[in-house]
Amino acid sequence: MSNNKILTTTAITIALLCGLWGCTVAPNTQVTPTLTPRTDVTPLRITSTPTPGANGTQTATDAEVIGPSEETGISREEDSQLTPSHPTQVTAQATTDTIVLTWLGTGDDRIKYYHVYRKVADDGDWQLIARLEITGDNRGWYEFRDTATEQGITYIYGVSAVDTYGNESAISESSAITSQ
Amino acid sequence: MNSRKQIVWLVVVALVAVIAFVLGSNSMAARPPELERSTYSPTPTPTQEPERETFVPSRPQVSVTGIITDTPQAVAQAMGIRTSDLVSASLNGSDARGVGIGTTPLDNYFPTEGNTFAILSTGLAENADDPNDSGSLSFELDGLNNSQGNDLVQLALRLRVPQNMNCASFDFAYFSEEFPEWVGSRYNDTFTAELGGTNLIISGTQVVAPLNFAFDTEGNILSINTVFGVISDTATTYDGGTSLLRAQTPVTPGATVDIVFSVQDLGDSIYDSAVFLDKFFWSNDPSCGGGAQEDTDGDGLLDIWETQGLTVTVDGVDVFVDLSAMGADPERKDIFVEIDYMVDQGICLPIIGCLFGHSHQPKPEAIARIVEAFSNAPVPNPDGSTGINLHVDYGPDSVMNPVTGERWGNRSQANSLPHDNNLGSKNPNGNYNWTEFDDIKDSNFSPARAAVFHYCVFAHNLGGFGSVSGISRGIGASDFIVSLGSWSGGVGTVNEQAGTFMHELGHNLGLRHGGDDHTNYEPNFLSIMNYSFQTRGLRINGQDGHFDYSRFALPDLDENDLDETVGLNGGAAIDDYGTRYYCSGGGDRIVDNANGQIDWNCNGNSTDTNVQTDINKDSNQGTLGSYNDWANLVFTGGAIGQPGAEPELPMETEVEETSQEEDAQLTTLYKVSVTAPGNAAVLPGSTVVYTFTVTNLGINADTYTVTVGSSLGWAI
Repeated sequence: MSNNKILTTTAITIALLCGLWGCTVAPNTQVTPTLTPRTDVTPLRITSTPTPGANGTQTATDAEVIGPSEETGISREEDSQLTPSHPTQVTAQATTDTIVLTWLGTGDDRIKYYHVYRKVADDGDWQLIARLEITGDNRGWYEFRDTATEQGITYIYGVSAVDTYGNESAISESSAITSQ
Repeated sequence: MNSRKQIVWLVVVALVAVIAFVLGSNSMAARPPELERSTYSPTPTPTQEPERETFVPSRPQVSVTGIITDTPQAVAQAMGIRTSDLVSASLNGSDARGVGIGTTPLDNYFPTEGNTFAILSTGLAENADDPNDSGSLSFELDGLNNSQGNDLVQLALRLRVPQNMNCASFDFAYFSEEFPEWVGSRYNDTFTAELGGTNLIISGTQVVAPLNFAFDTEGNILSINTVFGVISDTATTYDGGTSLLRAQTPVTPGATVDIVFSVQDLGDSIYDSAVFLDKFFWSNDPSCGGGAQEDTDGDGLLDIWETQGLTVTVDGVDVFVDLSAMGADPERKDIFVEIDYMVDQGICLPIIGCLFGHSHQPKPEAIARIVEAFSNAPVPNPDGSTGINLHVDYGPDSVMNPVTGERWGNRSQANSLPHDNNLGSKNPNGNYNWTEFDDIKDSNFSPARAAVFHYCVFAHNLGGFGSVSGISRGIGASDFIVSLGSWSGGVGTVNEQAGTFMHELGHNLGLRHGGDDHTNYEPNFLSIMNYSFQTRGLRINGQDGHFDYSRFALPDLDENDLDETVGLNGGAAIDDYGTRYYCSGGGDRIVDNANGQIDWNCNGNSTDTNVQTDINKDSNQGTLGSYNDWANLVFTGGAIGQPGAEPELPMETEVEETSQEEDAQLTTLYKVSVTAPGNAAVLPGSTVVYTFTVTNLGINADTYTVTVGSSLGWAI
């Protein structure tokens, strides 16, 4: 058997022992790792350093936690924990058969989508009605036209921002608007 | 003040008045009219001087926390003298109350390096940062006197000159209560810096100081009559002061030299004068001469450099840095930065060219935003303008002069660099190692620029530090790295580049994550130095993307007594600002009106008072301070302003919080150890049980990722 096969066998065994790589660790306890990603620190890295020859070898190194420092900038992992800012100045105006929704971009150039929600005033739940992909500096005004409304129904619209990390902002609401 | 204290104080004032009357103290005496004047004043001579009257404080002399007293050795170190160069220090019998160490910014200029500077005064040094509420603040010291019997305060240093250095320099500014009413009189106090001991002679109304090298450009001893001019807006207790000055003198390499700094009262012992001293350094400068020069705008670049250029000798060859042609202005602050950037060519094929590469050359819009931020800074200049001209050289097409828009063209010395996925490395102690950075710097950054330009590399990642966005070579420095290889598009968005560039440059300019401390995520610190805003910018008028240092120090937030009804309570200055804070149960919140109500405890209403909760994610409830970044920039970190010098740049910088409290919180919150049994042999066709043990040493439940790789490229 080649060294490749020896190491592969080892890796598969480890994978099985780890139970598909996903378990949590309670404070001050020890477990055999079954692990899922953690987002606030550099992921734990265990290196495999096989020695060519008849036998492969496997060595684990200690994990390190990288925190913020006096002189460094923020890490991407830490940055990804920050909630994106919500849009502001969300305004709805009714014209015949259409409600025009406008809002001011959040200014964050990592916003990938705006989610547009709608609910019936007073008793409705938010319903996602559009996902708008954007690019650019996100500093301008945005507009969405809703033509799928029922005449005489009063709606409230909401807009949220979704960043490239997949984080979604709080929903900014419009005033109630009645479809014409 | 309570009534009892008031009575006691009135009694003290009365006693002072009585004693002065009985003894005929100079501090209370009226001067007879003068018919003569000193001869070294360029100002018109009054034919008859008015009588001198002094200010008797109507309040207690209280210690000010920004100025402390310490040993002469500590005073020497406060002005930047290295311990290894200091043989001895003495006050020569001066009254120690005339000597102090400034520990907070003062006079728009000081400290010019580090966090401290030295003060010598003919009165109480601790008064230097008092409000200027007297035209004649006076204090008669004990101890050393000059030949007239008037106050003389000295700091005498014996120093070892490094073997390869031939020039000694230091920054200073002179202040006096005598301005403007006693300009050109016989009373004008003086400052001298003497090499080779001290020999101060008073001849008539003049001081003769043959060993003095801190004279002005017409050879005058420094006083309020100097040709450098004296301004009234000193931001100190003194009525007048010079601009920032730098004196230098040739010294013998390897020699032991005596340098004596002196301030003295002339004519009488009233009306205090003082000198601030900082940034003492050695250099190897073939053109080193005696005397002082001005740095009117206090940006660390002498006026003569900004108007006539700077010649630096590199390996025996004179190299001219034409700062004037680059747009430098002696009356408006200038900061210069050279950015070299890594370029990954990708896969290069004949005819087709290179594919799949990427360049870390900064995006013009990113740099333009920061140039604009500096231009709009609330930083006063001698020409009456506000703002800082930021000159960033990242290629011939980049803008050299932010005022005219002129581009660098063939003056550019920016370079593209071979791509390296991991620049530098992590030392075993966890610190960042700058050796590899220095290799790049040595090959790509002209030493002639080192006294003027900050040096920055736009790299991919920092070796050993994952996706950390950048690092500064200390706080108050001249080198920094922007490393956005793990960020958007592998190079960072405009905002990520802009914010990180400004953030790391801010560390170069003396700023920290909490302004003057390391506390991060403070909702009342509205600065891109705060991680909450580094890559997003500040939130103004409901929109992110405003890149700025903080413009004001807001009220403290006491996490043991928060008032939700007043928000940050910052007044009109922050009417348009929003902010970010953390809920102790997790997650962050964004508010559009920082002065409005804020739901600090995240319970759904914003009407609570006496709220006790952690709002900056440090698992601690303390007092969160604020800071005015722009008012506290240090322009001369690292090598800036020191041509021919060899400043000790750190070869490693800490990447752990220097605050032990914060570090303890981090490691306590999340800490893991992983152990494994070591090498294991697996025979063909057999199975081995190989157990990793992950121990959570933190206080929180947590999850981790384990991956297995092969350094030899074996299939896994």
